[in-house]
Amino acid sequence: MEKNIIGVYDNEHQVVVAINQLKENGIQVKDVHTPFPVFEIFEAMGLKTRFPYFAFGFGVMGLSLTFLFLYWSTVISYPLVVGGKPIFSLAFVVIMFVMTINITIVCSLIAFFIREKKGPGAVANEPHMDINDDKFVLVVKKIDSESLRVTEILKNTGAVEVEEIDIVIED
Amino acid sequence: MYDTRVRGILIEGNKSYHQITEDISTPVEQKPKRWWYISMAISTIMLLGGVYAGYITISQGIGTWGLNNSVAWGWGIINFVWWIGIGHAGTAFSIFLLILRQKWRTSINRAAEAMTVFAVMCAGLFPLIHMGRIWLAFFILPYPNSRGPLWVNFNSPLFWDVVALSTYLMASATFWYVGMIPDFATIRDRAKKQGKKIREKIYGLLSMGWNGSSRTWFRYEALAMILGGLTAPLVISVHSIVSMDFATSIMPGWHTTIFPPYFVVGAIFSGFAMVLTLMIIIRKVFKYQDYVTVGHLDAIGRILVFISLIMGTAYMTEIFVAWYSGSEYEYYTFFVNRISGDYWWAFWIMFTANAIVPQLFWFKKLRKNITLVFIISIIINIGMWFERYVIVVTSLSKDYLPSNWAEYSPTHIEVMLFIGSIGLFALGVLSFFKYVPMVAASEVKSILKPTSEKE
Repeated sequence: MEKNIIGVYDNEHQVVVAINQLKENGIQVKDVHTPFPVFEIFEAMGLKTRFPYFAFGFGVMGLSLTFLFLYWSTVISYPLVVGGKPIFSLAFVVIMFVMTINITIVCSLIAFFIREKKGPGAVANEPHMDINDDKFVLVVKKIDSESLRVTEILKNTGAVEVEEIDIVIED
Repeated sequence: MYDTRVRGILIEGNKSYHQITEDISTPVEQKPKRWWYISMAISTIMLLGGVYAGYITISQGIGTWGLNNSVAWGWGIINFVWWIGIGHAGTAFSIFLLILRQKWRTSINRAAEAMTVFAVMCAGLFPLIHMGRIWLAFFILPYPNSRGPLWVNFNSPLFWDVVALSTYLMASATFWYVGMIPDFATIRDRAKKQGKKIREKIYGLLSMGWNGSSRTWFRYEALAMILGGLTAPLVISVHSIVSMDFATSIMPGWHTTIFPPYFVVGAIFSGFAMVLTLMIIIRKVFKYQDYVTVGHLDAIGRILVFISLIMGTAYMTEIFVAWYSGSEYEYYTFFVNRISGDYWWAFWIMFTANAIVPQLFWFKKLRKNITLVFIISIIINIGMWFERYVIVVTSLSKDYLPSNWAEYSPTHIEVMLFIGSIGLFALGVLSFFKYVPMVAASEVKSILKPTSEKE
C-alpha cells in the first residue's frame, strides 16, 4: 500500500487548474478519477495512447486472415464451380469486409480489457465513493517533503476535501 | 461551440451531476410499478404463442405456413427484413451522431442501442425457423466437415447475410455494453452505500472493476471511436447485403440496382420511427422529459421527413425505371401487379405511410404535438412492414410463367410467429427498462454544462 493525497472537487475546471499548478511545482499527478471523460484533464495530464494504431494492425490482420481462409477453402481445398463462374472471382470481398470489422472489434475489445486489467470480477480501486456520481478526485503520491505544498495547492484550487488514503493506483 | 440560445437546451431543469445520477439510477433501484408486471405478462403470453407456432413449424414442417412453390418466401422473410430494419436505428443513431459529434444523441443512444440488439435477435429467429430443420442450422457455418470438406458458398448473398448479421449483432451488443460499463459502476457504488449486497455483487460483475480513472476514460474514448468508426460501415453493409438476397435474383421487381441504398435508407427510416415510438413511451412513463426534450423529438422528426423524401424518391425511381427501361416484365410488376393489381392495397398503404404521411413533419406545430408524432411513428412502422410485404409477395406471386402464378395468404402459425417475435422484443425492452440505466448518465453529464441553461 502506498500513501496518497487525494483532493476531491465538485467542478472539473478546478481540477484542470490544480493539475497545471501541481505540474508547475514539479509534482507528479498520479491519476484523476472522474464521473465522465473530461478532455481538458486528458490534455493537462498529457495522456497518449497507441490504441488506434493497434486497431489498424488488428484490421490488417483480420483482412489477411479472412482472405487466406477464403482463398484456401474456395480455390485450393475444394474448388467448386457454381453457375459456371470463375472459382476465384473475388465476390467474397464482401465477407472480407465484414470479417475485418468483426475481428478488429473483438481484438480491440480484448486489448482494452487486458491493458486496463478489467473484466468480470475485477476489483474497482476507487479513491472515493462518489467518483461515479458527481465528484472529481485528484490523486497525488505522498512524499513527505512535498505533502504540505500539495495540500495547500489542492485547497487553494477549490478542493472540498483533502485526505490521505492508502490505495494502489497504477501509473 | 454550443450556444443554447441558438441551438436550444438539451438537458432541461437545471440539473446538477448528482441529480442526473439520481434520476437515471432510480428506476433500476426501485421496485417496478404494476404496469410493468402487466406488460411483462402480456409479452410473455405473446412469446409463448410464438414458441407454440415455432414448435408446430419445426415438428410438422414449413407446410404449416401459407407458402407455395411460387411464393416461397412469405411472412418469415418479411418479418426478418422488417426487424433488421428496425435494428438499424440504434447503431445509426449512436454511431453516425457520435462521429458527427451531435450532442443530442446522449439522451437517446442507450435506448436506441438496446432496441437494436433485441430487434436483431428477433430478426435472426426467422431465417433459423425458415430452414425447417433447425437442428441442422450449424451447416451454414464454414467448419471443417466430413463431406469433403465441402465449404459453404462464399459467393452467395445468403451466406454473406449470415456473416453480416451475426457480426452486426455482435458489434452492436458490444457497443451497447461498453457504453453501459460506467453507469453500471454508478449503480454498484450506490448499492454499496445503500447496503444492497446482491445488487452490488451483480452490478460489480457487470461493471468489470470500473473506477473512473482518467487513463481508463482516455482509452475508453479511443475504444468508443474505434468501435463507432468500424460499426458505421457495417450499418450500410448489413442492409445492402440483405437487399442482395433479392437483387441478385432475376425476379422482376427485385432485380434492380437501386436495391442496396433503397434498403439501407428504408431500414434507417423504420428504425428511427421505432426509436421515436420508444422514446415517447420512456419519457412519458419514467418522466424523463428533462432528458428527452421536445427538441430531441423535433430533431428526429426532421430527420424522418428527410428520409421519407428519399423513400418517396426511391419508389418513384423504381416506377419510372420500370417504364423507361422498356422491360415488359418490370412494367407489368410495377404498374399492373403493384399499383393496380391484386395487392394494390398493400402498395398504397406502403406509399401513403412512408412517403406521404411523414410529410406532416414539415410543420413545426405538428412536430411539437407529441401524440400526433407518436401516431405517425407507428404508421411508419406499419408502412415499412408493408414495403417488405409488397417487395416479397407481389414479385413472387406473379413471375415469368403465368402457369406458376399463385396467391399467398399467411396461416395462423405465421401470424403467431410474428406476434411471438413482438413479444420477445417487448420482453427485452421491458427488462431493459428495469435492469439497465435507460439514459447514458455519464454521457449526459459530459454534455451538461455547455448545453443547459446554467453558466
